Amino acid sequence: MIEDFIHTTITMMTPILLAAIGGLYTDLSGMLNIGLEGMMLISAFISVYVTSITQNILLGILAGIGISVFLGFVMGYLSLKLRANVFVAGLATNLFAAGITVFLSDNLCGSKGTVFFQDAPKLSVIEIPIIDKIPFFGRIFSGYNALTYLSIILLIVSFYLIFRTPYGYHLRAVGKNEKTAHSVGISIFRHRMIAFLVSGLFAGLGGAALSLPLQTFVGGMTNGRGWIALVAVVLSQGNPIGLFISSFVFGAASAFSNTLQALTALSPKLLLTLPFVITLVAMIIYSVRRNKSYER
Amino acid sequence: MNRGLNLIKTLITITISLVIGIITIVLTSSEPLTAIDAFFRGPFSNSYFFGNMLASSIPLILTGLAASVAFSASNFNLGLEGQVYFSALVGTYLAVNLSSLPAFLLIIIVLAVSSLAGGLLAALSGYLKAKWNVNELISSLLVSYTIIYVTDFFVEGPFKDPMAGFSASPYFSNDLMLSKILPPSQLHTGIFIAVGIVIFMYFVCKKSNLGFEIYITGRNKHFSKYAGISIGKIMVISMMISGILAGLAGMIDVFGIHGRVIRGFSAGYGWNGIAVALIARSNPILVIPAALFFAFLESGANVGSLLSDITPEVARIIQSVVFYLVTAEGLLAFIKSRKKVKTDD
Amino acid sequence: MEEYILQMKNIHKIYESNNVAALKGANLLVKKSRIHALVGENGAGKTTMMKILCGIEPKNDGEIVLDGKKLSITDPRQGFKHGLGMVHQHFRLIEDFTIAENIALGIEKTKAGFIDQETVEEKICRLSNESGLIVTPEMKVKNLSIGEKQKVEILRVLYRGAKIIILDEPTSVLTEQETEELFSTIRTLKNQGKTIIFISHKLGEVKEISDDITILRNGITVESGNIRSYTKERISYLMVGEEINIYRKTNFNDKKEKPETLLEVKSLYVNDQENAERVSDANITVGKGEIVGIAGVAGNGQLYLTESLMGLVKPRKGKIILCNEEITHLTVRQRREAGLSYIPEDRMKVGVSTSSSVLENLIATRYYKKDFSNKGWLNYGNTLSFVKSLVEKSRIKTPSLNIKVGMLSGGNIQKVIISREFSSDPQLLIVCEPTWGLDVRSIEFVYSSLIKMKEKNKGILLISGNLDEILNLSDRILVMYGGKIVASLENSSKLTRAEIGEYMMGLRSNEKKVCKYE
Repeated sequence: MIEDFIHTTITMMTPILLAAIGGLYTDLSGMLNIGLEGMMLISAFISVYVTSITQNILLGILAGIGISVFLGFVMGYLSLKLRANVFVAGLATNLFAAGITVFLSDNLCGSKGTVFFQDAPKLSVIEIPIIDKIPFFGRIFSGYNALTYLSIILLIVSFYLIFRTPYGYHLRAVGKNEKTAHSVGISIFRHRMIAFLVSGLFAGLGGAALSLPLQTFVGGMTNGRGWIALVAVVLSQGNPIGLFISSFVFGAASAFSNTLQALTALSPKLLLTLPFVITLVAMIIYSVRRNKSYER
Repeated sequence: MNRGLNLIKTLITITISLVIGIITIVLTSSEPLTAIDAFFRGPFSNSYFFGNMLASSIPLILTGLAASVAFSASNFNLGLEGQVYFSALVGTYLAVNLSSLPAFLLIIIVLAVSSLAGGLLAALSGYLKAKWNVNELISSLLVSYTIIYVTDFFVEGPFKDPMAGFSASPYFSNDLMLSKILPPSQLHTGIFIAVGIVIFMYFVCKKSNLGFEIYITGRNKHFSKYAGISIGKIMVISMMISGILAGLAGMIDVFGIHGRVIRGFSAGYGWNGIAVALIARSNPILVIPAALFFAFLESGANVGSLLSDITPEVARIIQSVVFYLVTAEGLLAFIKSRKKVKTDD
Repeated sequence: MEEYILQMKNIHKIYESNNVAALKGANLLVKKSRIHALVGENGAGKTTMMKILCGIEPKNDGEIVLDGKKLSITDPRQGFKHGLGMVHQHFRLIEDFTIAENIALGIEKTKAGFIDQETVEEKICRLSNESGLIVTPEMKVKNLSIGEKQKVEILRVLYRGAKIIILDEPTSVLTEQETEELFSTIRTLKNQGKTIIFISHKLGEVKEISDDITILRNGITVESGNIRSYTKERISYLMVGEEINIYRKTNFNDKKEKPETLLEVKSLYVNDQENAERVSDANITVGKGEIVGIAGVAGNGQLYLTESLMGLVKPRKGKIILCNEEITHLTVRQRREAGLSYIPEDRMKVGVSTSSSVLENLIATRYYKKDFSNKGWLNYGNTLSFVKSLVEKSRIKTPSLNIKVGMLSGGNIQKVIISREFSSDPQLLIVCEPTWGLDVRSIEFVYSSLIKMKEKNKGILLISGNLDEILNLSDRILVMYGGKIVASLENSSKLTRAEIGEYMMGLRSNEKKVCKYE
């Protein structure tokens, strides 16, 4: 029972964690990427669509990443070069993605609602040999799709990249004090732009992790996960471990909401509010704790 | 001079977005000329389309105003969508259940209570920011997501009209409906209310103590606090006013057009309101032309989809391009430098 | 000509953001292994000149020749490659990083892609020993004192192999003792063959440390030569273009009896956001017609003290009494109405709203009063005539009342603040660093305004890191160190800078004694 719940949590967490890793890079560079939601959404559509027409999951994922990296580039270019407000550019990304996905699914698939890609190869579940035989832990550590394993690996890679390499130091320096970074010869534009591209990459993976396992695209299927990922980034305070914990909690909220829907007669609509309420409460607790005794 | 520059930037933004719209139509339509013609001239071709365009500008004027007030205090109210929807639910509920009251009185009560409901939702984010520095952008959005589900729950369940084929509340009395102008189009007298509110808000923003406090706080919180303004109070009040205006947008739309709350009827009012406020640069008067422009895009795409083969989502794409470019300070310099490069060649 | 290691000729610079011409054909010729002072008033273009040299800012015109080779650099990285290193006035350090991480930032050593901290630390230790700048490489920068942070900055420049080291107003934040230490470091570096460009407007220091001097005024080089051929008076004259005597000694002992008390602060404690104590047990009294100076190195709790007096930060405990009424729990506005006025240290962030107009800035503290507002609606006519008279009276130079305050010069911005704060008929003025970054003429305006208020029998609490300012204006002097008031001294001609300096460094404390006496 508990292991099933954790298993569901990790499954639910995957898209959030992937997008949150992306958001972490922009956050460390000193920008808040509000466009995660849109980046995920567009990749969710493109990756399952391309997977279906090429019959190749890898190509599908790459196409999804490609388009969301492109959106990252547009956001970066607009906010860094053309000095657009980064929040507004993020909102634009979300609205553009919401519009274009419906537009494309209408034009390409002839439906604005749910599109089921029956013929698309499925992102299958991988059992890790030996581990999957261990009672309890087998259920927790095994039986996920490739993107879930990948998300954990990429989280660890990101940790080393951020805290152990010159790139990570430069990225954090840009975020913490851009004047300092500039005066020691670190390019602010380049690091922020790379951060936007990387966040596009991860949000793209997150989007693919939503649509590919279901072989389905539904308009607006990200349903706030990009925003929840953004809160996970804020709560992590730039630390990948914190990022994992907060993503896990939000994954658990979704899993809990799902479990209650299956087990109880409570209204599914009301249960769907659970992840948002929990996210909001987490955000408030974080802010209260951070402010401590400070009175305005 | 500054104003002139802003106007040029806005015109460039609009031009680029329309060009992208045209390109999209050309790429996807089998009869691009008919489609473009329908898109651009359709809303003006007869009083029905024209009236509908004006009708769809009404909620945008109010949500645009709502976003403007929040922006003036440098707050992002991303919960407009939920505030519009929830207010409509509260208002409709009262209108259905208090039908024994005289119509005029009931309309006033409904508008007051429903807009206050939206106001309180937004004020919550203002309060959280003032008290614990919770990012209002994220909190208002999360509240909005939550409240949309809650409203959906009522409209699909306890407050659903069993006769309706889709998720919608029962109708309230027809006497309460705002009267129509230009029938059979949907244009209603709510447009006068909206313009009246714009004028009132113009005076509040530019000529009142509160407007001055909101403006000064929006420009520089440290200075505002130092000058003796209670910035916490201003944050809450500015968000509350924003929510109230969003609530009015929802309820006036219900009074003017729907006669009940329909699931998801507000899709886009909130987001487009933000874009409208950005185009208007938070100036209450300029909200009107900005809202008309967005209503035109919406109507153009709708007429285009009726008279030819384009997808109404074309409007979404154009709107998001406007969104992308509207705050780009460097746009003018960028275009200048491009011109230079070209002449240099 | 070949004796010059560095030649900057006919340098022009226009800042795009505000269209200000910072440099209009400035020249600088520096000889090898010399300490070259670059002096000038604020806004003369000294810092801009050096930022151009290091590639931090691009130039519009002019030529730079380094070691006989023409130099054209566009980013700081290239500046380092050519042996140019700058220590900024406002430190460029990442507070959360360690000393070693800060020093190596941008040119980290790696082993298999990962940062090799050991090699970095070894090199820092070697540089430490050579230069006498002793630091602990693994310490976090946020735990360092200002003097130590400066050492890190200098080490960073040395780490990059700088041959020419530029120090931008390095002593402005240091105590006397720290300054002495810095000067000995500078001499050590010179003996090792480094060339030093020393930016300052403290003429005593310039005379003491430098070999050569270049004087800038309004973006143009006025004169240049060996320091021995210039007297302080001559330098001062060249910097300003005219002679102005800014300091007016107040009469210290003209009132024998104790003045009537205006402000009384009783054992005030203030904590910061992280709940660390920033002000502990502060006891202050200010009387009518009295200027009480608070001396101290920046960051010793002065900001928390003044902000809690004004109501911007809540004190943890203690009492603030103004004109016999307790104001500890009043709002900022109530305090202002009770007779407090405040010239904040951070002029651009707190004192004005740079993106608002002159009119809005001048009215921001009183728009709601009955002269300017009726039932919640603003009276524009009255506001306009009031603001006009204020601008005329204080001679604020502005092209219009609707121009954004950020477009004005530093001196005029301070005039906006002073005229607003002094015109509300306050009883007590809290004045923080009122002359930071101002030119001589503006400083004169500030001082005469303060003395006028004193003559009107108002009380003034003057917080300043500038000891001359404190000594010349104050009747009594308090010294803050580590959040405590460590000394309370009557100002007299016998009081020396060195004595105050010792209190400022925390080497002496006499506050206990004074408490009993009071």
